[in-house]
Amino acid sequence: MIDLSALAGALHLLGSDAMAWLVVPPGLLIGLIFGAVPGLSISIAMAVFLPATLYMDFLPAILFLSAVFTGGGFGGAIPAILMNIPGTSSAVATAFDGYPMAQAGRHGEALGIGLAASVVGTLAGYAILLLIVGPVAGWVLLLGPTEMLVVAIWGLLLIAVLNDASFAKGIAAGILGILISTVGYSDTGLMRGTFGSMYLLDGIPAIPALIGLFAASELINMAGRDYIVSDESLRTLRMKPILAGVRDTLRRWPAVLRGSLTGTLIGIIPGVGASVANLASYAMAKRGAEQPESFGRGNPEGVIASESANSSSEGGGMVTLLALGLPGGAGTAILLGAFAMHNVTGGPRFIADNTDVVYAIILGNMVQAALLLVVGLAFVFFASSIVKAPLRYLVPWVIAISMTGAYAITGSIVGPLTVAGAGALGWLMRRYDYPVTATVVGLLVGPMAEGELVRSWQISGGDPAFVLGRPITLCFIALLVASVVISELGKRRTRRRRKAREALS
Amino acid sequence: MTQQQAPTPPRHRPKPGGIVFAAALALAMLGYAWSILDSARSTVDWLMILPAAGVGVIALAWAALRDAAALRAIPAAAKLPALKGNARPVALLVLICVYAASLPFAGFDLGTALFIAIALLIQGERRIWLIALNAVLGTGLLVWVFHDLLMVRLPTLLM
Repeated sequence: MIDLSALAGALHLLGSDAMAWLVVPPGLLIGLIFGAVPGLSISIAMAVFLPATLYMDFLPAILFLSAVFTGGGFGGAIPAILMNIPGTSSAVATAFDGYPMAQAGRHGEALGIGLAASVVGTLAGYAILLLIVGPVAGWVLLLGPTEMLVVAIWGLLLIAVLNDASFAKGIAAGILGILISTVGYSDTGLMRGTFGSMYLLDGIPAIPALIGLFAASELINMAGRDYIVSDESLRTLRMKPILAGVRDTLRRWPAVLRGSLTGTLIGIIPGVGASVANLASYAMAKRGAEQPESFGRGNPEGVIASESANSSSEGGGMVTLLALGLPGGAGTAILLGAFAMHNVTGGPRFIADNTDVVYAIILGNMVQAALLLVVGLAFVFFASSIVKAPLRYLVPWVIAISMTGAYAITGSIVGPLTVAGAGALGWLMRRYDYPVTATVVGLLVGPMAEGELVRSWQISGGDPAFVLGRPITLCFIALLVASVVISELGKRRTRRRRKAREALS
Repeated sequence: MTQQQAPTPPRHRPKPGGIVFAAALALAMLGYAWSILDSARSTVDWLMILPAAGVGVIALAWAALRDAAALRAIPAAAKLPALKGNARPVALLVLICVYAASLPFAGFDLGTALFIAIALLIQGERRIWLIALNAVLGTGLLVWVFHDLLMVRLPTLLM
């Protein structure tokens, strides 16, 4: 599986180029900052700093950008834990348990858990990549549009698992997200739901909508409150709980490994990536837990599941980038841009001819993960001071930064208007117990679902029996049905137990 | 491995406005699906939107019926919405919408300064010098970071 001579070549490459290491700490710090500021994102950071890599050799350039990627992968967890605002779409599930932990004054522990899970997740993702980068290239090519469609539907049906209100409201909220994602020009050139506005031709921008649904609606709800952590004695800034969180994560190694494996496998599928990986891993952890009802109320395993999966999906995404030259998401698409800037094309030929370079990238990223622990510890210590900031100052500032970030993403007024509109919608949804998470999931997987549905329709000629000739699709459908049935039965059992407990007391 | 015992989850109490909200969403979905069907040239134009909207409307109707049934079980006095606690969030919500809509005219400099000042007033800050300091210096820093450092072409009026 591993070419030992290429591995020795990789170690030589890494050992002989000091630049490959000098660029890593600044890259990690840039990623952490851009990931942690709502409205900015890993892809913005990578895009902003891509031109800087033009003056570097290929290996330092890729290691610098992947350091930004690695830092940003965890950076998104910081506002998710401290303010219930996922800095990136990959940290959505981190907020589910991270924020309740922060509200209970366990912010340091939650940040430590998130950091350690990210570090181990990144390490595991790249370790798996080292083993499978060669053989998996052929396997990914077997996935066609029908398989990808089932994956997208599975992502949507997670709504039913994640939803704490009711199945009907979860489905309605998810469908709302899908329909919002279809606004704008379709692949076939049809103008949909634009009301004649040229600003909407490109559709509703997903990241500003995500910021509005999660951040603005939560910030509006915070109006009138004093601090994120209501108990003054818990508003402390100490390294000890952060280190305790790191140790706690390492003790829960089976949960970390399960999340890492899930993330890597989902990351391998092109176009899915960390946004789905964190939700899928969270749903699996919740389903397999002894006390599923404790998820969403500050269970550390929820943070571990999400952070280990979104970080390990980076390694999975690199599989398709290196093996097929296909980007799995925005981050890997920019890495592909860096490949092109250095006249390098990913694919089976690249792996065969430059195995030492591929191994050097993988090993370099594994060392980056270890460095993230050091840089990240210092960063989260200072970031956790946010619990001491009065909300009356924090709320207007975070909204203003988010609005400006949304403008930076879209380059037009559509970004701020989307934040405001989605904020109002999110506030109403929270008020009437509709899960905003379901709408965000629908928004993120909607375009992929529609694209794959149209392609499936075109290649099958509209004949549903076409699926019967696709064994992988049938396997995926069986897994999807089984997971939904098992989780629904589990929810009903929990409800029955709760009613029995209430009747007894 | 210690794990905190989870508290008993709060039961979701339905609110009368929830039925209106569900009806409004259902109407929006139906309207959108109708507009797509009206302009579609082939099956692929409505392939996902029509079934999705159908499922969405059924789910919303089901959710509204369950909310209505739960509301009937609540005493009439408890159904009145608590308006007092909503004043600040609603005021902030309106302010955010006005802020976003005013940005093309007021620019990020003046618009953000006014937004910060009014939001601080809504949030209960009464010290004028702190409001002014936040609005002027803070906005200046924000616009400088995005406009000059990150080279984002923000619309501005004064800076």
